[in-house]
Amino acid sequence: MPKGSGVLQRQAEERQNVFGAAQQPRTGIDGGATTRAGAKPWCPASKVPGFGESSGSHAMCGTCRVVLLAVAVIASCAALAGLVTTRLERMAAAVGVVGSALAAHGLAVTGPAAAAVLLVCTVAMMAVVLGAVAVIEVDARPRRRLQTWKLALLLPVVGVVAMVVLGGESLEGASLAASGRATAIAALTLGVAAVAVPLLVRRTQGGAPPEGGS
Amino acid sequence: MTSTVLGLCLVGVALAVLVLRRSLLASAVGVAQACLALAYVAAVQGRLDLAIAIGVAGVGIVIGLAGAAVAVHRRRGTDHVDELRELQG
Repeated sequence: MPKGSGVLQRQAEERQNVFGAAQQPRTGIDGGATTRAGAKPWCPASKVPGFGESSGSHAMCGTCRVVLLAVAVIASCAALAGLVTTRLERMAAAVGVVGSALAAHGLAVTGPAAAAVLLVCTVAMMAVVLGAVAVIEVDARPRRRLQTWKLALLLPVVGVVAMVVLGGESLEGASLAASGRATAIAALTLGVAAVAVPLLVRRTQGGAPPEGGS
Repeated sequence: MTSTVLGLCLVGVALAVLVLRRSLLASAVGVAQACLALAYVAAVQGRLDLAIAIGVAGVGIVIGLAGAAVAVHRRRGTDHVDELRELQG
């Protein structure tokens, strides 16, 4: 029997000890238990009235897990773009986001040990790469002013956070379908904003590309 | 499964960048992300020892690639200084 199944079985036994044998744990997309009652108090699902007691020290609701995986995938795409265009600072930052999201997800699925390993690896790798970038100054380009319209790209992120935090009431049950819908809406908003904002800015500037754009 | 495929794809992209653009640092970051994805998969499956091994191997590879990039940069700088001295006689 693989080692991972033993961990999951132990978590299921702990839930049964707390809630009795009548409540069966639901499994998420990664095979981990996604019972709403297993979330920590900081999880949005814990705001639902009648929320059960925490059965594990590192449990998290399915919505948070899906959001974390979505963050990891989006940041992976950003890192891939940075890899192809060799913009190393942005790429290193994106990889840092990927590592952090995976560490948080690993914390929810397996425990603090996995999160610690992922975080230590992320910090070690990024420290080495950023040190080398600082020595070589590969991307030493002229400083550019921060463009105000680029801040609009942060709006979808704000929307995702608001949807997760404020939408805790409607996420009762934390089903995978609700998590998927939330992630799909967030991704769609992100894509529309990323495409529409530069187009609008270029149109208002008479077709010329934004000054100092990346 | 998805993370495994993603990690392997990133390894391939890192190797392609290494061959095509000859950017050691870009390859180092690509390998770092691939190792993170693989370590995550190992950790989720409960193989913490395997995750640690993958992480340590990734850190070693990244240190090697970054060190090589710095060495190449300094060698180019030394060559450039030698050329300037030759021009000055």
